[in-house]
Amino acid sequence: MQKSSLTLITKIDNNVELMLQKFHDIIELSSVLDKSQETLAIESLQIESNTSTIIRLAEELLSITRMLKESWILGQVPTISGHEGETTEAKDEQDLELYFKVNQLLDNVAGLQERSSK
Amino acid sequence: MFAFEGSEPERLRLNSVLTEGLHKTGLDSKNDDSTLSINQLIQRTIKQKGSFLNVTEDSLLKEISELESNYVDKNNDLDANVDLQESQNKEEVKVPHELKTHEEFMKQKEQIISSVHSALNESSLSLDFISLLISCVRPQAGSLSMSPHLKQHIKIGSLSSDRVQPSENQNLSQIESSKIGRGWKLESLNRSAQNLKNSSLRLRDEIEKEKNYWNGLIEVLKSNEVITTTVTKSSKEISVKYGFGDAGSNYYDKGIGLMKKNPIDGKLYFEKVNPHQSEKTNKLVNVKLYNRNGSDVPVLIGESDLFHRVQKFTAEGVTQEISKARFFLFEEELFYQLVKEAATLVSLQVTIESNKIFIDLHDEIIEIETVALEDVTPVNPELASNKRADQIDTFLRLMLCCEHKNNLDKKKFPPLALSQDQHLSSSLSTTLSLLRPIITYNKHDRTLKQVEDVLILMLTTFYNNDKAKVDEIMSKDYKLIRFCNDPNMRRLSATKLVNNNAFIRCVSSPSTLFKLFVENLKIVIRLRSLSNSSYSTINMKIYNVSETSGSAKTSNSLLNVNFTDVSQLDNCLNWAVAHYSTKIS
Repeated sequence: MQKSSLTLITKIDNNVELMLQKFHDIIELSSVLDKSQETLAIESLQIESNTSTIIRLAEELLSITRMLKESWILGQVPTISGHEGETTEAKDEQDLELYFKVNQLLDNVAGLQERSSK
Repeated sequence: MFAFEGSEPERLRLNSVLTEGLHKTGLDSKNDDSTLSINQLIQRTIKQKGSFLNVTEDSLLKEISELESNYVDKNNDLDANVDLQESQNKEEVKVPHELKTHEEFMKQKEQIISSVHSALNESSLSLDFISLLISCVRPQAGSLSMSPHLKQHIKIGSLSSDRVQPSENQNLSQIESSKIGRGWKLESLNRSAQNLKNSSLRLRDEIEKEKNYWNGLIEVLKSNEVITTTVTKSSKEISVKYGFGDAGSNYYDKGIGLMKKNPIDGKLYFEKVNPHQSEKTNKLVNVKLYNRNGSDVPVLIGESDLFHRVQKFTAEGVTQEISKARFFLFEEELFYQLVKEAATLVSLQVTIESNKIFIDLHDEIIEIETVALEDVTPVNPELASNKRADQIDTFLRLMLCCEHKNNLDKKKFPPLALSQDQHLSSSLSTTLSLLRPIITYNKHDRTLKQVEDVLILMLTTFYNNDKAKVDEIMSKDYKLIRFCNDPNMRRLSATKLVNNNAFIRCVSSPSTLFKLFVENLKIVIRLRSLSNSSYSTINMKIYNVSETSGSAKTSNSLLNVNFTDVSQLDNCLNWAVAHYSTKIS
């Protein structure tokens, strides 16, 4: 976990840095000056490719948040409310209660009571 | 440029080999029959038609005639096939209707493959060209990227180039080109801006959806569901485990639902994963009671209240859906286990007919069936035994829970070593008992009643129809101890159950003890019904109790007999009492 969180942090940093870098590149590339026609053509394509790189990086950041959420939710253990810190005595009591109730039910369904009350 | 013409045919050949290979597997292999050697031909024939041993003249004639009739039918198809073989360049081909989609797919696949090949060809050619051009100035760099074919046939550095002098109106063209370049840059900047804007909108949308989805998921988590991942065909997905697998159920359906995201608004929705059938209907287990006292046709006297049970499933929401799925999974397993158990209970008058279980309990019949959710209607409140039917329904459910718990406990045992006795491990796998307790206890109860009747009858004859005396003895000197094999009976004051098992009475065989004092005799009768056969054994012991020195009593055994039938008990008891009692009539 320690390691993966470190890699995640570096990844986020890298992505942010790269995004800034690419943006910087775009601005730099947008100057015309006295470049030749071929250079200009290439540069305009580079601008677009940088744009799509920025988009991809942003998407990656989004996927990191999703991954974090996923690993968080999978680490959750459902808590059984009302059973926490319950003593064994209370459980025994419940068992006993259940025992009597089940026996009563068995009596009822097997038709014992009906007969004996006749 | 001429140099490249040499390389072209080879590449094309490579290309056509690939496509040919594709054709062989994809379209028609009949053509190859003629090119096969006789050995291969025979092998293939055997594979297709079976051994030559089975070939008779008749079968051959039949096959030929079939082939001919097929030929007439499929003439058009054959034409189409021939067309297809000839036209590798994908002209319009008439194909049989049912094959159309597949054929089309293959065609498109071929098209793509050939396009990719030609693109590869083109780029290799231009790479070669550039390499050759560069090799003139920097032979090392050029030869690295050259294709072997070119290297073999053309000397490195054999193509040279010269700088083209810029034209005279250089200044003018410079301005012109910078104008064009400006336009291009503006265009691409615009495009980039648009692109960024669009994708930011898209991502924001996506985030909104994610938020919706995770809100739903947290809601599910808060309702204490188990969230795991499931590997489906395509990917790993977040799923919820609503089944009873972790509670000890070994039903085939583990009850896993995928937590899907609605592609439109990102809302969470729930989709069951069904390992077998694609569509399941929600069914409930229903219990009906019939009375058949007197009449031939059983009369309905009670029905379990299903309407009440499904009332809670009116609310919407994912958590509701999950709990609904869980409920119906339990019902489904319950009925499955009931049928499974009922199949082993033929000897106890349990029958299964058209997906209904009938339990014959002497004077009444229990019918267990499944009812689809849509067909659930409120029960008729007039029926007398509605409550009992409902209780039976509840009892069956409880017993399944007990079964699950047993399974879970069993899993906690460390596995037995293989070298140990086989019967030890088999004894751990107990049989199901959901219906069994009802039947055995009912039967036991009936036998109990009979034994009591026998005792009263015996007393009546013994005291010459003195009803008052009989009643007095029955109330004073008669003791009935039921469930005497339930270990909890001996320690009623204890606050803890033996083995913490609340169901111990339900799963053990019923056993009852009768104690009766008649004059100097102490009669102890133990009635036992075995739960796996509902077979009753009766053990009677008679002691002679003689009073010596005050209140101290000594008893000596007179009789210890086993019976399998109440009438045997009747005979023996009457004889014994008459024989051993000291009462002088």
